[in-house]
Amino acid sequence: MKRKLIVPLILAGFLILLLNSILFQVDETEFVIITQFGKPVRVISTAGLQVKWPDPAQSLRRLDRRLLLFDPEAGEFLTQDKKNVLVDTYIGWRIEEPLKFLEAVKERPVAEIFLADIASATIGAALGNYPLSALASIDPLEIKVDQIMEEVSAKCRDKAGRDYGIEILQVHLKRLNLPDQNKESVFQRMRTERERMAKKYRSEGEEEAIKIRAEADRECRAILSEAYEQAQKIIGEGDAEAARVYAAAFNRDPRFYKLVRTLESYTKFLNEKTTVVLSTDSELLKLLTEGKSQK
Amino acid sequence: MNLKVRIAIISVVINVFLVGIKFLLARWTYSSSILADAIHSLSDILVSLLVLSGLVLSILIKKSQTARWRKVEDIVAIAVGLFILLAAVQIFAGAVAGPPKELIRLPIALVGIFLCILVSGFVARLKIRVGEEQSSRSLVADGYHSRMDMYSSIGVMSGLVGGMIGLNLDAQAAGLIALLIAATGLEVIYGAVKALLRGTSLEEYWLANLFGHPLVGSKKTWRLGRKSLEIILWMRHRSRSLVLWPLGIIILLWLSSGLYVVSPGERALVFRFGRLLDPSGQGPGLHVHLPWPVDMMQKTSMSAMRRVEIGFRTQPTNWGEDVRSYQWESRHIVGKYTKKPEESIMFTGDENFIDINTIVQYQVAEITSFLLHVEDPETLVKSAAEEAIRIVVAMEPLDDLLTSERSRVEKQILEVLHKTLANNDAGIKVTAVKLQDVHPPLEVVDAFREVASAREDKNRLINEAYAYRNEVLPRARGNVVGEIHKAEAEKQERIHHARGEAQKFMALFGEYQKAREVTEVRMFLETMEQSLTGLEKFIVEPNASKEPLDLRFFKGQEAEIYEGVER
Repeated sequence: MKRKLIVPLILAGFLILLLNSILFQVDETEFVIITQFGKPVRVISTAGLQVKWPDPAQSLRRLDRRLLLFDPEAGEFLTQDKKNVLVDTYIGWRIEEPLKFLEAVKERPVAEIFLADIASATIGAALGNYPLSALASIDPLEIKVDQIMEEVSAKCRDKAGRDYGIEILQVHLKRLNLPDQNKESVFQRMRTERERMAKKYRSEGEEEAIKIRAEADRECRAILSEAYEQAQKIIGEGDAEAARVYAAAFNRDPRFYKLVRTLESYTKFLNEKTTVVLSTDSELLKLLTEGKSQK
Repeated sequence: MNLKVRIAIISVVINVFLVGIKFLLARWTYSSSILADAIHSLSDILVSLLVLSGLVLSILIKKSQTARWRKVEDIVAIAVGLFILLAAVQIFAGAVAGPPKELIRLPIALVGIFLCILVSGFVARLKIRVGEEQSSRSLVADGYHSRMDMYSSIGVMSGLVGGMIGLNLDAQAAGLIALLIAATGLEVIYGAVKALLRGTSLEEYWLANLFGHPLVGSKKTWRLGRKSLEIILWMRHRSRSLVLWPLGIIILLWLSSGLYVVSPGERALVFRFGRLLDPSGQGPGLHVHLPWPVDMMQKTSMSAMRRVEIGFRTQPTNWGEDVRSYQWESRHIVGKYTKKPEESIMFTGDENFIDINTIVQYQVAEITSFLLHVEDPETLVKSAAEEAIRIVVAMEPLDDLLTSERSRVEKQILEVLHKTLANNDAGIKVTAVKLQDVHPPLEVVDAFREVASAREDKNRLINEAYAYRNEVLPRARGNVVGEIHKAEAEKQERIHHARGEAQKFMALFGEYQKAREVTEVRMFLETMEQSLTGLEKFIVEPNASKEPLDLRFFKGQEAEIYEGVER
C-alpha cells in the first residue's frame, strides 16, 4: 500500500513540474517574450496567467516595461564660448518594442551602455551650439536649458527608438558643474569679489564717518559763532545803555565830569610805586613857596 | 475492503485536483459559474474532512473526554457551515447583482470543464460499480454524490457553450450552483445544531443523512453509515502518525494567506496571477483575496510623508555625537549629517558657486502609477529634484539666494519638480521643497565672513562718527547758553555800573552846584592827599635848574633804580 502511494505522488510531482512549465504569470510591470528554441515568437504584454508549450520547446524572457532611470557618468563638454562644463544627466527610458530590444541589445546593462553613448554624443553636439549663459544666467531670456535638453532628447529618442526599440522620455540635466581647475579659479574670483565688497564697505564706512564728523564740526562752529554773535550783541546793548546813562548824567556839566573823572583817575594810577616829581609852581605846592607872600 | 478504501482515497485526491483545475479555469475565464462549481466541490471536500477529523478524533480521544470534544467539534461544524453558506450567498449576490462579465478563453475553459466532467463521471461510475460489487452502500452513496458534481459541471459547461454562441448564461448557472452550495451549508449547520441539542454524535447524523444523499434510499442509511465508519476506522489505523491534522492546519494556513489588513493611510493593490484587479485599490480595513498563488497583494502608505535629502544625508547612527552647532565652514565629518558636496554645490545665474542642502517631501498620490509605472520612484524624485533645484538656481544671482529670495526659489523649484514628475506619471505629489542650508562653498566662506566683518566695520565707523557728533554738539549748545548768559550778565553789569556811576555823579553834581569853588578845591586836595600820601615825592624848584632832571640823582644808587625798573 505504501509503495503504491509513491507512484501517484511522483506522478503528481511531474504534473506540478509540467504545469509550472506550461503556465506562467505575467506581471503588470513586465513584457514576456516567448522564445521557441531560442527564437522569439510571441510578445505578451497583458498581465495575467498565460500558457505556452512546456520548457525545452518554448521558454520565456521577462523584460521590465516600467519607466527606468539611468544615470550615466558625468561628462566634460565644451560650450560655444569655449568654456568647459561638467554635465551630469539622467535618462528616463522604457522598453517600447520588446522584440527589437531583445534582438538589438538583449540586456539592460548593454542598453545602458548604448544610452550613455548616444546621450554623451548628443549633449556634446548640442552644447557646442550654445554659450554657457544658456545654462546659467540671471537673464531668463538667455536661459535655454529646456530647449537644449529637448533637442538632445529628441535626437536620442529618434536613434534609440529606431535602433534599439527603446523609448527615451526625456534626457534630464541633473548637475551642471565646472572641472576642478576652473572651479578653483571661480572660487578665486568669488574671493576677490568679496574682498572688493569688503573694501567698499569699509571705505563707505570711513566716508560716512568723515562726513558725519565734518557735519558735526560745522554745526558746532555755527552754533558757537551764532552764540558769539548774540553775546556781542547783548554786550553791545549793555554798552549802549551804559553810554546813554553816562552821557545823560555827565552832560549836565562836562567840566565837572572832567574834574571828577580826572581826580578818580589819579587815585587809581597813583600807587606806592609811583614817584612823583612835583614842581613848586604847581597848584598844589604854590603855597609852599608863595604862601607867606599871598596870605 | 482494500479496493473500496483505495477508491475512496483516490476519489478524495481526484476531487482536490478537480477543485484546483476549476479554480484555475475560473481565473482564466472570469466565469462566475466555474468559480461557483469549484466552491461547490470545495465545500464537499470540507465536509468530508470535517467528518473524517471528527471520527478520527472520536476514536483517538479517551471516552471520558469525548463529550466535551464533540461539543467543540459541533461548534466548528457550525462555523464551517456558516462559511459555506456565506460563500454561497456571495456567489449568488455576485451572479445576480454584479454586471455581466466578459468571458475570455472560453475554449480552454470548455476543454477543462469537459475533462472535469469526464473525470467525475468516471469516478462516480467506478464508485457505484465497486460499491455494488462490494455491497458498500456508502461508496454507492458517494458515487451518486460525485454524479451530482458531474451534473453541476455539465450545467456550467452548457452555460459556457451558451456563452460561445452569444448567450450569456454564466450568471444563471452560478446562481443555481450557489443554491446547491447553500443547501450543503444548511445541511451541515442543521446537523450540527441537532447533534448539539440532542447531545448525540454529529457523525451519526451525518453518516445517516449526508452520505446517504437524497438520491440514495434513506432506509438503509444507518448501514451505509456503518460502512463509512469502517473506512474511517481503517484510515485511523493507517494514519496513526496523525498526518491529517497537520495537513488540515496547513490547508487552513494556506487559505488564511488570503486575509490581509490595510492600515489607515494605506492602500492595497490586488493582483490575480499578476494582473491588477482594481486600479483604484483597497482602502483601510480587513480584506480577503484568493489564497496564494492565485492572488497577491501589494500595499503602500499614501499618507506617509516621504522625504529625500539632497546635498546631505542624515546618519541616524551618529546622533549621539552631534556637534554643538552647524556653521558655514562645518565639514560635517562628525555629527548626524554627512555632506554630499557633489549634490550640494551648484552653479548660480551669475556664475558663482553655492552650497545648498535641500529636503523634498512627497506623498504617494496615485498608487497604481507609483507602484507600477516607475521602477524606482524615490530615485526619480531625487534626480528630478536635483534637476529642478539646479534649473532654478541657475537663474538666480548668488546674493539673492543667500538672502531674500529663498521662499520664492522654493516655490519655483516645487513647480518645476511638479512638472517633471507629472510628465513621468510617477503618481507622486511633492508637498514641500525646503532649502535647508544655503551658504557659499567652504572654499570661499572666509571671504564671505570678511564681507560680513567689513559691513560691521562700516557700521562701527559710522557709529563712532555719530558718537563724536553726539559728544560735540550738545557741548556746543551748552556753551552757547553759557556765553549768552555771560553776555547778558555783562550787559546788566555795565548798565548797572553806568547807572550807579551816573547816580553817584549826579549826587555829587547836586552838591557841587551849590558851592562850586569850594567843592572843586576840596575834591582836588582830598584826592591829592589820598593819592600822594605815602608816595616818594620830589619837589623841584623850576627856577633852580635849567637842566633836565636826572632821576638817578634822586635815587642815589644805580643798582636800586635798575631794581626798581625790573620790578
